[in-house]
Amino acid sequence: MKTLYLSPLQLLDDGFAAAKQMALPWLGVLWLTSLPLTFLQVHYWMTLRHLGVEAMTHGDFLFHFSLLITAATVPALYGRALFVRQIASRHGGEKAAGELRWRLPSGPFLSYLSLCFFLDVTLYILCWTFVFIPVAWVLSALAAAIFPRLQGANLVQAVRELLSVSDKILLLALLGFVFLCAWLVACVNLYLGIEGFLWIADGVAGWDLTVWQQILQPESFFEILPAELLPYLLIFSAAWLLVLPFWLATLTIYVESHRAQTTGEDLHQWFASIRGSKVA
Amino acid sequence: MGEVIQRQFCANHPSRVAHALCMDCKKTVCQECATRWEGINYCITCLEKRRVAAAPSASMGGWALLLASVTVLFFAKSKLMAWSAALMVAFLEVE
Repeated sequence: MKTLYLSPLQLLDDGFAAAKQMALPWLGVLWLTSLPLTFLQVHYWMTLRHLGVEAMTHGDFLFHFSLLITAATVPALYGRALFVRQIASRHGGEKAAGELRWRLPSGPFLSYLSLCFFLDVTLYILCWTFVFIPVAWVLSALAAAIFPRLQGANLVQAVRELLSVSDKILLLALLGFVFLCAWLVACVNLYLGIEGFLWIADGVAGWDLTVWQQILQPESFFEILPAELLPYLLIFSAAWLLVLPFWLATLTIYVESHRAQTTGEDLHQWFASIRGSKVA
Repeated sequence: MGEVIQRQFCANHPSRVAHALCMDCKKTVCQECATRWEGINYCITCLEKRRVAAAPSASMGGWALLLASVTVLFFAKSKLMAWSAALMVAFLEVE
């Protein structure tokens, strides 16, 4: 809580610093728990692409596949909750007890799980409006960020908590836009990185990588549905995994700063820092 | 012969003189580490334990309701995901 107001630049700086501090092991935990969900989602898109119009006649198959994806959401949400809790405790100057670090309180975790499922259900009902897609994206990350503040098994309290931190719409929209740009930049960088690797592998090592070079041609990269979807889906997903820790860390810092502003804790700390500097 | 009173120090800050005695763990703590709750002094660790114990716990009904809602939302989410994906692909293909 360095500032008395919520500045987007300060939040981004603090979020970046917090995510960097979490490098081991929490960043790894976040990525490992998110991997099954990411791979299943990519496979789902590929299956839909292959089924085409026939997808309408494969309702049962798609439902069972969706059940698998929803099940894979649980470890992904567990990883997010662990990561966010560590950032919140470090930000508040606390140090979690070693033996308790892997355990999450079951009540708040169930509340968080149901809140995320509720947001997903709302998204699937309202996705045709298009406006709700970015809103749901921000809200689902905010749901993770409020996890350390949840108490007991109560979905209503979780929804109230989420709504109470969602009042700074402009600031949240700005942060969302920044991270959307960051994701696009990460996509391009990953793509260029793979291209560079192929170029080196072909030129220096002499491997035959013609197939991959055709797949990753720049003209097919900008098509909406390129013929070879898989590499691009993998690049998009990998770029999202790179951006995710910073996105979660920034929103956690936002929630903690919001709480400090609401309770007056920021003024208390500001006064303490002034008094400390006067004594020094 | 009078009894010698020994000066005690804080369990967390050995250089600081003890100010209070934690009524749970009986450790001596300095002014900064001691917190008075309902008229009784506690150290930070014991106060945290009491805070966790005093946290509102959900009733059995609350737990059952939450578990039921998680289960319902789990299946509803999966069903809606399948429907919306099939509709979206069909729409894109027709377009």
